[in-house]
Amino acid sequence: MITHHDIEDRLRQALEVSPTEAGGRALDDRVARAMAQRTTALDWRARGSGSLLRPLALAAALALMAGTVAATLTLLERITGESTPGVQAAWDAAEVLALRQSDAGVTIALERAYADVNQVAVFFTVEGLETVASDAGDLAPLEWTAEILDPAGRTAEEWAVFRGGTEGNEPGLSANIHTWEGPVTPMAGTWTLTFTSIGYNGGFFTPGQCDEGSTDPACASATPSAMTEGTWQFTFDLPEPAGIVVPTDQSATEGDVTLTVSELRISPTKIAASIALRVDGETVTAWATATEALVSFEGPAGTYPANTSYHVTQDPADQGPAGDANLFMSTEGSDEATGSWTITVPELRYATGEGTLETGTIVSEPFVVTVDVP
Amino acid sequence: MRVSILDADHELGVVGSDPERLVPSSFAPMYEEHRLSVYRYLRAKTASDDEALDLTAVTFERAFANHRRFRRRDGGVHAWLLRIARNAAIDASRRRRPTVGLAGAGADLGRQAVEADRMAQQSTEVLDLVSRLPGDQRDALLLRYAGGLTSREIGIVLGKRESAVQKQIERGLAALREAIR
Repeated sequence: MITHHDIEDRLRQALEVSPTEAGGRALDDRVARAMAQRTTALDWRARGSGSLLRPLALAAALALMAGTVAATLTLLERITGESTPGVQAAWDAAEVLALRQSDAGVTIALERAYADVNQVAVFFTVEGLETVASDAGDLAPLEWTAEILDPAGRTAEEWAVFRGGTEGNEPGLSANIHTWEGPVTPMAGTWTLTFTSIGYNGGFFTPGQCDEGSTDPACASATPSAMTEGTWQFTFDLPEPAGIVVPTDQSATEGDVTLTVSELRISPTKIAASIALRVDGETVTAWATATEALVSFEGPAGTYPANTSYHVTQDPADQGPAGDANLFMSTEGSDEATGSWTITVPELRYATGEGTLETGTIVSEPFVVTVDVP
Repeated sequence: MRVSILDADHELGVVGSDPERLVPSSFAPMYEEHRLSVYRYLRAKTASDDEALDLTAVTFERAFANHRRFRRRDGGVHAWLLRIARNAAIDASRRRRPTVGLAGAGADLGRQAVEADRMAQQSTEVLDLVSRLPGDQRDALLLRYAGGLTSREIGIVLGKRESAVQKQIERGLAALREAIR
């Protein structure tokens, strides 16, 4: 005789499934990315980077949330140590600057700066700001406005498509790592970094969201951010960027779909590739991997997943003959560039016309492109 | 499992001076706590493991993005997450379109059970039977036995009274027993 409890047991047993190891890992990675973006991206978005995707070090973000750090290290060393291998490599190879500037009672210390063919990174701390609790009760994130000029006098908007970073906050002290990244090689020479305002954003809101008179219910309890205006300017020299840029025009075709790797950038902190997709007779407006499997770069010293991507040709009118271009970047680099590199793009999905990626066409076969680096 | 940061003194999911609110520092323990139940519920609602994993990620992405909307009085974190998961599954079923390489989209629970080689024959049978139950009974059973919710929490997710949920569960279990007997 089957009892009520037997049925419940069978039901529980039938539903007691777990993801496969690979599936669970992919899920964890994706959720961790979302988590990291939500926990520290708001202040970046506040600075006007509408299309920003953050390559935040996931483990670092999670570790920071839990506060699992060694007390003997400085806060800046700690957040670096918990960050991605690429950020750690940047810290180790960076120019030690130890420059301090004070204004309006706030001291910013630019401890180190680094450049390679994929990015410029600065490591700095901020003291003298009154710590602000967010309206949710925890420490508010640091928000700041700054401009960086390269040796040719260009602003970051002219050469970087992507900004990232992470921060750690303790009462009275904030430590920050910030990167500017993109498919333009940074220049050797004298750089200028100028901060013009800095403060904690207690309300987790973006500028304009909670202005006076706002009727957004979310603003009812928002603590206004307390920005300190001033000028903190740093001038420093960076050497010739490490790494190599390999122009290539390697393609792979599946049916009427052609994928072209136009450039490969290999540096000690990350591997990046500009990859475009073209479909015969169609205008591709966007494409991405269709599952949690990542684009990967397999080189002489290891394999590097591209945890981060950036849609380069957001306006189809800007497309070249290779089609719609994305920039894929890893969070770990390699000192060994010479040799054969295999770039694998797994099952992908593309959108055309007015369609969206969600309803786009899937190409199940992976694309594999090999690039020989001299 | 790489996301393994826990703070034992932390009330899971809700911290800070306002116990009604979710804050970003609670995301990691919240994910740790509810990852499996959300996945199991969605695995039972979808045709493939890939889709269940995708919707599990979507659930947490939506939760993080909308954490300011959470209110404990709306049933707690667990019920809130499963309500998001249920909506994500409904959204996914509405937008499914035949696409190259998406095998199994649109399959029902019974088909899923047949496809899932990790499930024993007995499990296949009981899941096949669950898939044939009326929608309310099926949802209530999955939220209880895959999602691990109480009847009160299920009521909040489905917008029904606790007593009505209990009846649905009892009727569902009775129907299963009758079919297996």
